[in-house]
Amino acid sequence: MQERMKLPFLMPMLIFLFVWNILPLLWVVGLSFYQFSVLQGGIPRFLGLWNYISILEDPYFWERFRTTFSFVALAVSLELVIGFALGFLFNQKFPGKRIMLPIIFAPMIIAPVAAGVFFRFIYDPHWGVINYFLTKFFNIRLEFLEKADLALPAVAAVDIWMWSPFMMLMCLAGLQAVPQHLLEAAEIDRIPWFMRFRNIVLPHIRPVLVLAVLLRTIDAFKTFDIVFVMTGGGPGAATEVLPMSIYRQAFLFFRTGQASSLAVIVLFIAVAFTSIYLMMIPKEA
Amino acid sequence: MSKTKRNWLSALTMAMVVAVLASLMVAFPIAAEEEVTLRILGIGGWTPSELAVKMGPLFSKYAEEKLGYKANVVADFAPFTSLYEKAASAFAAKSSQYDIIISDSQWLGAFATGGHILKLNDIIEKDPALSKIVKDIYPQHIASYMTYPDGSDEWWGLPQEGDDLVLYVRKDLLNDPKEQAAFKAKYKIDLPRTYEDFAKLDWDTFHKVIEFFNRPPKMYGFAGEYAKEYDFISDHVMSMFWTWGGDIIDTKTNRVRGILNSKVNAEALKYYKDLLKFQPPGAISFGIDQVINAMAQGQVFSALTWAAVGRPIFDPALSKVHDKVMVVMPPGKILENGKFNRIYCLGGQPWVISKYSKHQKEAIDFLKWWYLPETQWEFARRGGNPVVRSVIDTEKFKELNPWNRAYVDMIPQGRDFWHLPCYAELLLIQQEEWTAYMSGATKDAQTANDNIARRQELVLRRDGFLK
Repeated sequence: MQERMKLPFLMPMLIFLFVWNILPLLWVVGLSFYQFSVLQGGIPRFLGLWNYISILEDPYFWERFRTTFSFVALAVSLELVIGFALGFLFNQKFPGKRIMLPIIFAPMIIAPVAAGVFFRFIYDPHWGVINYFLTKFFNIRLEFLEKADLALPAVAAVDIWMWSPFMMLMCLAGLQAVPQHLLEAAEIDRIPWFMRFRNIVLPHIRPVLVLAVLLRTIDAFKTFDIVFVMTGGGPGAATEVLPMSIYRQAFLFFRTGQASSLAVIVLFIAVAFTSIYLMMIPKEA
Repeated sequence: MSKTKRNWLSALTMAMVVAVLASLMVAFPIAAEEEVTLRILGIGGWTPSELAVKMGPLFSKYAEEKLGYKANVVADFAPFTSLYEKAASAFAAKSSQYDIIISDSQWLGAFATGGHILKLNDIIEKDPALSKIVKDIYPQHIASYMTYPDGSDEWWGLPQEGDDLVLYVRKDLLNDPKEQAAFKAKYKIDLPRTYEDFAKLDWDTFHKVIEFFNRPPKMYGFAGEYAKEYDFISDHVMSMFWTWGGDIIDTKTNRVRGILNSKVNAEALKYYKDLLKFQPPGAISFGIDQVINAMAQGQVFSALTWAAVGRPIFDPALSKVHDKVMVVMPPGKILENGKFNRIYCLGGQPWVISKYSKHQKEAIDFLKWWYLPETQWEFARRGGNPVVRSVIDTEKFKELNPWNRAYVDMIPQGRDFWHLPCYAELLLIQQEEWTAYMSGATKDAQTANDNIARRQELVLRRDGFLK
């Protein structure tokens, strides 16, 4: 009886998954082999792998890939370090901890578009708050979003501000799972703190950290809203990340086939990253 | 009769009454209750677009009195930067959501070749009123807002509003005797003061003027558009190219190499970058809003931007300099052959009628009403830039708003750029390369223009436009 009941209970979710995830994915993969513009209409022309070849041969694609990769590497690594440090801090007992926690988490609940607009004002070279203090104390003025070498770190800083608390949350959850008796025993044996960290803490929090890094990497790879609002991919192509390119191909140039192939390539990259991260998680975890 | 039977009979009678009423309603619609709702998609935050809707009640009155039907005009707005994707998405879905779309002139090709908008030639030819209107429009406006392909006589839109680049300057400073004396002492020439002085002003002299009034951090000499958003930097840079005697494309062959990346264009691009030293910090990201704001707040002595956005600068509630600004024609350039040359980008937008509209006849009625002299005057009084020459070529119009004279005088010196379906890609390439140059990512002007020429020809070749 129980075996027979499994399928009817699973069916609604499977249908939902197929209609909302699998079918559109297959549709996009299919479109990626055609020349088709949803605006110009007409019959799609089969191109085989041509869309993929033209993208991979395009130096501007690789430039955008480098930009995206730099953004992800910068944002996720700093989020990990800051989140980790905050996690350790909040794993201790100190006065005001309960008040501080929600304040630390606040950036996570702000809409990225709103955060982008706020930071555009904050970075403003003329009346932004950062430049106000830089001018007042150091007599310098920085054009954060206007200079090619500063724009990407400035945008990444917003992502770091928003998502470090998420890393902290994951780290905190991992630290709570570390058996206290092992730490106490190590303390009694006077084992140095870095040995305690490497041999007791790290093995216990590693799966959670890897998962956090994986989630953040995938999320950072599809960052669009902050970049769109803050720089529009500029100046030049300094902050032109791959999701911006997909958006332009799909909804500005209406090159639907080309946009689909680009989306498939980004999906492939995300899947590749997931596989690498999953390999890093110990099998017993 | 049993209670059950009675209930059945009552239900049956009710059903028959409802059916008869419904069929009567279908067969004889109540004409008096019919109201046509015209839906316009326009540019959010853009006065001329908003006026088209705000003046809707006037059309409703006109339609009821003169055309014999009730009409209502409603609007949906999207900012400049996302209007194209909203309009194009509606067209791609073959949606009847919008009857009229305020498009940008460069989109005509994409919408026309996709078969999404009405071709207007037959409609105009068969309608004496519309034919008369078209004859009363500047040829530059016909080429810019109505025609695709360029140089053909195929018409797809009509001008909703005209616009061009004009120069806003501080007349209080120009008329200050102390400033005039100081300028004369420094440069040995007179400070331009009047509209007529600026009409013959070249960039070399204007450069001295903005250098003279550049007094940071209190006031800067100039503000122009440099942002990557939409077409902001392109409109200004292309204006510099044309004024310097250069061009961006061979319209017969669509060749870009050797034209856009000419030596004179590199010189003009470098000149436009050098102007940044007279502008407020962050001017590299200045778009229309920032330029207006800088002028209205008294942050700059002069601003090069659109005639259509002049209103806030003259609004006492928004501007610190509302009574201190004069609108003039932008500077020209004395070319090597000694000719004074001034060609700037045309702005403004056409409106097009959706092929999927269920109210095409009423949309045409609306457009015919729009070009009536009284409607065009009302549009002008509310701050819009009409296009009908019998209105705008009058002295009364030129004196109505501070920017009107420069707007009209600049029309013959205005030029539009490609209307090709691949315009969005061509535009993004320019926006990317020129902002890269302005921000220092690309080191010299020639390289930036070479990159554009190469990349644009790839797109034009791919889409079969390169001859």
